[in-house]
This record gives sequence, C-alpha cells and structure tokens, in this order.
Amino acid sequence: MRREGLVISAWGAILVLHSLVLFVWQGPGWSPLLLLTAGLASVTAGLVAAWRGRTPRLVMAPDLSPPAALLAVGVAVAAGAFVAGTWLAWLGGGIALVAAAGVVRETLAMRREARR
Amino acid sequence: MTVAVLPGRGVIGWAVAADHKSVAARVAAAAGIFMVLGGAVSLVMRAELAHSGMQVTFRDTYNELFTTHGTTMVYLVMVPLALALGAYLVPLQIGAAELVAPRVNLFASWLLVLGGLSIYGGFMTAHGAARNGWTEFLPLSGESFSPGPGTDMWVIGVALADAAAILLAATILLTILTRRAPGMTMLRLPVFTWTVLVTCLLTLFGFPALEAALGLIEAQRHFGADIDPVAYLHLSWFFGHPAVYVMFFPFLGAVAEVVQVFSGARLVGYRALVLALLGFATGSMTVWAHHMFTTGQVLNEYFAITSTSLLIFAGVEYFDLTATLWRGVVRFSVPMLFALAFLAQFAIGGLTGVIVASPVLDYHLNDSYFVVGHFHYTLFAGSMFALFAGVYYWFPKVTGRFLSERLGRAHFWLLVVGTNVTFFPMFALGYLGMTRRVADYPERASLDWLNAVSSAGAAITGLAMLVFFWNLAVSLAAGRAAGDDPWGGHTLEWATSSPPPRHNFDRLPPIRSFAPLLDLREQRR
Repeated sequence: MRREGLVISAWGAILVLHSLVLFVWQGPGWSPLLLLTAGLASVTAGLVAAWRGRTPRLVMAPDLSPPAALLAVGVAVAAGAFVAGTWLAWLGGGIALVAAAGVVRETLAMRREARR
Repeated sequence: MTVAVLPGRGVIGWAVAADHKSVAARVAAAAGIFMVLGGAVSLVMRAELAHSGMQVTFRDTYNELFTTHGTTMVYLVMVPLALALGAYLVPLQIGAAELVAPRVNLFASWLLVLGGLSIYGGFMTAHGAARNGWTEFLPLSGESFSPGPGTDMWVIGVALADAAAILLAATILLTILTRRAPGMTMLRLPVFTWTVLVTCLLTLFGFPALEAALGLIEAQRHFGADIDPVAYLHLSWFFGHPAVYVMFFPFLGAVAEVVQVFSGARLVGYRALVLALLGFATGSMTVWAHHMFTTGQVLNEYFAITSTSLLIFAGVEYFDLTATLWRGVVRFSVPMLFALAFLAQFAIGGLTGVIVASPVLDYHLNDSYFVVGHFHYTLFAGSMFALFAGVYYWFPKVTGRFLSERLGRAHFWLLVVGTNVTFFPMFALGYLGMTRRVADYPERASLDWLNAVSSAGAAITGLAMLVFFWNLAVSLAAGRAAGDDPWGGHTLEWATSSPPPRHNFDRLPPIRSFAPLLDLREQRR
C-alpha cells in the first residue's frame, strides 16, 4: 500500500464534506451533486492509487511512437463527423483503429524486450 | 529505478518523439504559436476599442475575435503551458527517468495541436468562427442563435484540448505518486512539484465537467435536445473556475523556486505552504458558482464565503514568499524581476477578486470591464509574469544557454508598463458602466480616453512580446553557454546536465529535504 494515494483521497473527502454542507444548506441541486461526484471520484482514485500504485524496477520508455501520434489524428478526424457527416467518423475511426493496433504492437514488443 | 530506452526507429522527427522533454517542448511550442495568434487577435480588438464607433472590424467579426482570444488563451496557451512545465520539470525534480505512459503524453500533445487547428479552422467556414465567448453559453451556442459549423468546430477543438489536458494531468500525477527517487518523500517534494500536483487534481476532477458541457451543446445542435441553460452554466463553470487555478498554481510554483534561489535562502514555512496549496485547491473546487451570482439559481451566501476564504490560503503563500525574501540576499536578475512583479501585480488581481466575490458588489460589476480588468490582472499580470520568471529561470536548463539579460530587462520593463497601462483603466471603465464583449460603446469623453490609454498599453505589451521572441531567437542561436547549474539551484533538475540526457540522471545526490542541492552546499561549508 502506498500512503501517497491517501492524500488524494483525503482531498476528495473534503470535497464530499463541502457537498454535504451544500446539500444541508440548500437542498438537492446541481451544486452539491457536482461536488459530490468530483469528491467521490477523487476518493476512489486515491484509494486505487494507494492499493495498486507501485514503482517499477525497470521502466521501458519508447523514444518514438508514430502510432500514438496517428491515433490522435484518427480521433480528431472522427470528431470532425459533427461538422462533415458520418463518413468522416468512419474514416477517422479506421485511422484510429490502425493506429491503436500499432500502439498495441509496440507495447507487446517492449514487453518482450523487457523480459529479455 | 533504472530505465531502458528502445533504440529509435528511423528519422521520423520530433513529431513522434515520446520522451517527456520532447512532449513538453512540443506542447510549449504549440502554445507559443497560439499565444502569438491570440495576442494578435487582442491587438485587433484593442484597435477597434481605441475610439467609440466602428473602425476596424464588423460586429460579428469582433464577436469571433473575442471568442477566439479567450478560447486561445485559456485552452490553448495557459492550461497547456502549465502542464508542459509540469511534464518537463516534474520528472527532473523528483529524480525520475520518464513520465508514466509516454505514448499517452505524445497522443495528448497532438490532440492539443489538432484541437487548436479545429478552433481556428472555424474562420474558414461560411458563417465564420464561434462567437459567443470562451464559455459558449447555451442557448447562445445553440443551432438557432449560432448556425453554421464554426461553433461545432469550436466544440470539437475545445473537447480535444480538454482531453489532452486531462491525459497529461493523469500521467504527471501518477508519476509524482509512483516514480519518485529513493529519499524523495511527499514532504520533500519541491514546491513547484506540489503546485503541479494540485494542478493535476484540479484538472482531473474539474475538467471532465467541460466535456459534459460540450456534449450538451452538441446534443442541442444536432439532436434538438432541450437543455436547461443553468445546467450548462454549472458544468461550464465547474470546469471554468478550477481552470483559473490550473493557470495559476504551476506559475506560482515557478515563482516560489525563483524566490528561493535568487534570495539564496531556504523557503520559509514549507509545510504551511503545502497545506495552503491543498486547501487552496480544495477551495478552488468549491467557488465556481460565484460566476452565477446574478442568475438567482445558486446559494450566493455559500459561494461568497468559500470565494472569500481563498484569501487565507493566498495569504499564507504570500507571507511564506515574502519571509523567504526577507531572510535572503536578493539578486535582481531577470527571473527575480518577473517574480517580484508577479507578487505585486497578482495582489491587485486577487484583491479585486474579493470585490467581485461579494454578491452585492457583483450585481453591479457583473459583465462589466471591471471583471475583464480583474481576470487579466490574475492571468496576465499574474500568471504570465510568473511564467516568464520560470522561462528565464529554466531556459538554461532546457537549452544549455542563457536568455540575454539585456533584452530580458527591456522585455520586463516594457511588459510592466504595457500591462498596467492596458488593464488598470479597465477597472475605471467597468465602474463607469462599460460592458464587456462589446465592439463599440457610447461616445463619452471618459470612456473614450480610458479606452485610448488601454489600447496604447496593448501596443506597448505587443512590443514587449516582440522583444521576448527576439530574445528567444537570438539566445537559442547564439546565447551564452550556461553550464549545468548557473543560478545555484536548490532542486534536483540542477544536478544533471543542461540540457538533460534522455534518461535525465546518471546519478542522484542524497535527498534529505525539498532542497537537496542547497543541503549539499550547506554541508560543504
């Protein structure tokens, strides 16, 4: 267990407390709901980081990753469907799919390298 | 922890480099280009406002310009620069070899660039770019008030830039939690790293609300959904106010580092400052609805209290930094000049914030130029000056060269004059009733001369920025060599070469406090 994650949980708990104050003071509404959501998300993220976070002994760091850049292009092109129509979503989705496959391939290759 | 680096696969260039320094440099370069564009837009706006009457633009064009200016400066300049500073410096300050998930950072850096292109692409569409301000409130941004693809391209661009910020924040935060060097406990993190940590918290838990808000705009525009405008306001400001602090904390961290190093003193009240930062970050998540005082839809008392209480945390930070200056021997180099100007000018931004945090006064000042003056004193006179303190301070580490001190001083003084001449008259303009986001105003002597002064200030600010970019170009090409630790730094980034190698460190000094290099120096004495 890593205690650092608990800093984030504690921070989130204070947000939850604020949301309760707001709820008691004004009743249900957007304000307490938004704060509660952010607070609970923070508490959860902190707990996950506390339980699962670990420092790796060996870090494999890629120098270059063309597929990761291409993935961004694919996502941006697909988002353009809101302007140009569904065909762009298909095109962008295709680019993103190819790029994602490239990222997976790179990651697997690095893992193999690490095992050696 | 050791790092194994895969060999490069051909010359694909900096565009696909995944190392944290390359990613940060790419984000900073993109933000720099957008800063020039956003700044040029503001000069056109100030030219229009220099006199009453329409002389430079048309009303619709003016609306597009102020929307693009705000959007650029928030989503494409200040937030990315804040995270780029973190992405570059955090691994160096905590003794890590790399950020967590380098590919995610590379992906995020391109999302930001493509998002910016989408926003500016709106100018090339039939109805022009988005024109309802950087917040694009509903129903103004709905299909009936904003026809054409410009608003959609704005939504896409902002959604991509916001996603980029969230991803960068996640990897930086995970790096701080899991990749610290042996001995680097949480209470030995440098102040800058703490400011980046709270920035990441605000980004991770505030920025997703913007994605939801943008979803509401598209739901209205494409599916005819009936959206409650107050719901949009809540989501938009739940992102928007934490964003203000995302654009502040890392720059405050830069000032804290500069103040320590150029005073030659250890920071006074480190633990109090860390607690104040966490308190400030909590507070800044709980104040968003002070932007909605006049809607009558929020609990004004609660949000007035939380907004005013931020002064306590800001006060702790000011006292700590002032006490550090008091104990030290101050060197007035360019980074320190910018840091001191930040402290003085941000105080004006902060104190005018207390005025608009009062619902009674806000009813008078809401949507006036007073508010424009207030947030420009926090974001430009404050954060931008702090950013320059950081740029002059860390430039030798990043490039191995100094920025010219002579040009730096010219840049500083021009910017101080330009900033204050531009933004101070805005308080008076707002008090006199001039509303924001208008291309024209009634012909009245008081409004005319104050606007003329403000526009003259904008021209001086533009000149100051030209000097800075000239300095950048000259120093990159032929700046004086800096060496590894030219300022006598306190933190780990100064323990490696300038610029740092791919894996950052060959060896690390012992870490026994938040200022390990200062510890070493004191030990040797």
